[in-house]
Formats: sequence, C-alpha cells, structure tokens
Amino acid sequence: MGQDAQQIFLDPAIRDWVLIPIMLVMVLVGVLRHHATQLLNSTPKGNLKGMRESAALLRARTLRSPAGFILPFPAFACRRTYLASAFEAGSYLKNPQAANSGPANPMTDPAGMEAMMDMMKKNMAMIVPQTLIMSWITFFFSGFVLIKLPFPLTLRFKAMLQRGIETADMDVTWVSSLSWYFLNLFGLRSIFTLILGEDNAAGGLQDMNQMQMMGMPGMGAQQPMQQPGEVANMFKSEKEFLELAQHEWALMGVEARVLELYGVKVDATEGEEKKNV
Amino acid sequence: MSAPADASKTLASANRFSPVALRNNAGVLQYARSSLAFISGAAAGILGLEGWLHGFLFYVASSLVLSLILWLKTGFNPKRYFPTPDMLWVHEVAGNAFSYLLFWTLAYGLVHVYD
Repeated sequence: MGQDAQQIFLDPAIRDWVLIPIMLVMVLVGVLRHHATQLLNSTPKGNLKGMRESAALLRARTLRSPAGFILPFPAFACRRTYLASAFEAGSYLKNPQAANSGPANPMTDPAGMEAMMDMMKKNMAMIVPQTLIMSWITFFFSGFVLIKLPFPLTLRFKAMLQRGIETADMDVTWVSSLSWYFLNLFGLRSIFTLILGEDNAAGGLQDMNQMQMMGMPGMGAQQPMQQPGEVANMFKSEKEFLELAQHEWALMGVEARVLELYGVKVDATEGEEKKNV
Repeated sequence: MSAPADASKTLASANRFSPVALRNNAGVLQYARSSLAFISGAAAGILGLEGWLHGFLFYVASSLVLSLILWLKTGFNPKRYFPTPDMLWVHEVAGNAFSYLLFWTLAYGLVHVYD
C-alpha cells in the first residue's frame, strides 16, 4: 500500500483480537442457528383430508404436464373428465362447507396457529443472535478502524461506515468494526453453503424464499396457512387448465421414429396419423 | 381441436426433467459458485487488486472460466442438465458477489494493510 495517499498502520493486535474474532463468531453463530432451527422445526402434522386436497391438485398438474403424454388418449380423457368433475363438485376439499364462507381467522384454526408459531420461532432464531452480535460489537469495538476496503466509495457512505470514528479527513475506504459486521452478514452465505450444505438455515435470507413459496399452490406438501376459500378457487382454475390441456401420446408414430434410429427413412406423412385432441 | 403440427411436435419432444436431479444439479452449481467466490475473492485480495473495475472484471472473468469448465463437463450441451441453458452461465453469479467482496476485503486487509 506504499503509494497510497493515506497510510495508516494498524496494530496487528486489532487483527488478532477484533477482525478475526468477529468473523469467527459470526460463522459459529450461523452454524448454531442452523442446528437450532433444525431442532425447533416441528414436523408438520398433516391430516388425511388436507393431504388428499393437495394430492389431488398435484395429480391434476402432473396429468396436464408432458408427463401425462405416456397415457393413450382415451385414458387421458377419462382421467381429465373425472378430475374436472371432482374439482367442480369440490369432493376433494378439506371441508366443503367452509368454501363459501369468508376468510377464516387463522388464530382459530389449530393448524394455522402452529404454522404461525413456527414462523415466529424462525424469526426469533434470526433476530436474537444478530441483535446480540451487533450490540457486542458496538459495545466493545466502536471506534476501531478495522480494515481498508479495496474499492472506493463515495463520501456519502462516510457517516455510515465510519460511525464512532470522528475524523473528518480520513479516507472513506477505512471502515469501522460495524461495517465489517455488515460485510460478514451478507458475505458469509457461500461459506455456510460450503460447510452446511445447500439448504441451510444459517443465513436467514432463505426464510424469505420460503415465505414466498408458501403462496405457491400445490408444492406437494400441505400448506397450513391457506384459507379454505383459496383452495376452492385453486380447484376451479385447475379445472379450467385441465380442460384446456393439450395431449399428444408419446408413442404416436413410434414405429417411424424407431426405424429412423436404425437408419431407415420413412415418409413422415405415412407414419403419423393425425389424431384429434 | 387439433394442435398445429410444429407446436405439438415441440410439446411432445420437450425435455422431461426429474425434479430431484434438477435440484441436485442446481446444488452442484451453487457449491461450485460458492467455492469460486471464496477462492477468487482471496486471490483478488492477495494480488492486491483495487477499485471496482478491477475487482469486477476479475470476478466476471473467473466466473466465466468456471462456466466454461462446466460447459466442457456437460459435453457442450447444458440443455441436458438444466431447464434453461443460460442457467449454467448466470445462476448464482450475482448471489455470491457479496461473498467475493468479503473475501477480497479480508485477504486484501490481511496481506496489504496489516504488514
């Protein structure tokens, strides 16, 4: 850093007792949080009717996806008619009489209550350690010049990155311990991926993804936070999708395709017969 | 109703992916990108790169090298492993940029600031 405009010599003790400990503590707290979340995670208690409700949606979705093409057309049409009429009648609904009533209060539903508790536990597991670390850092290490960023920042960041260091002329790239904390907070995700695996609960950013996933219908698992009226609407729209579904049997014209594999040219119009769907 | 011939052809011959295998592939990709953010960040710091431009270019270049290697490994046909072929090139590159910044700063600080 010889030719820099500003040269500050930092005590190696700051590195040994502040810089590296902050990072180490944040990594270990992340690991702890991951394991604590796994301990707190209660397996969702599904009931039979709720499972049936989501399985019916999943089945309809599979049927109208390309996976349904393994069925010959009569079998496909038969399943489509059956599922569409079942959706129309609402025979797979968890409680059919609740479909028309207004949005229920999630507090009264024990399943919804449990889901809310789960979410609260997760939020607490994230907020409490981060608050503790942040107050630890501001209590002990405020006013430390910790490290120099290798990239320049504009003067606007000075108030944020050098909080506690009242030096007007110091370059913005010298930052305090709190900014090192924030850099760790956002940057340690890849380390957690490496040591804890793909879907770890250490970073806390994944929780938001999970919350967005909750809104998506038919993810396979049962969703306790859903309102009964919503499910009825999903059944209605799934019925419409089913009626619009296109079908092409995967084995149509298979003779010509197999022959082509072995180098025999078949006239395309001869092998394929048009089938009305 | 009769579907148009070309549309139905693409529908029937579309790739079918197993969700488990897809998730595994995405996991492998994420693992590789995380390692890359860690290693290339440390390398940038040790080399003493300074400024947004140099660091950014270094990260993009190393990501590109990783993508090329993965592309080679898929046999130049990423469509066999990923639903969209551009996933191999862009997936998780931006997500790991913060990790790159962190290790860049750390290695730069350890090597060039604390003597």
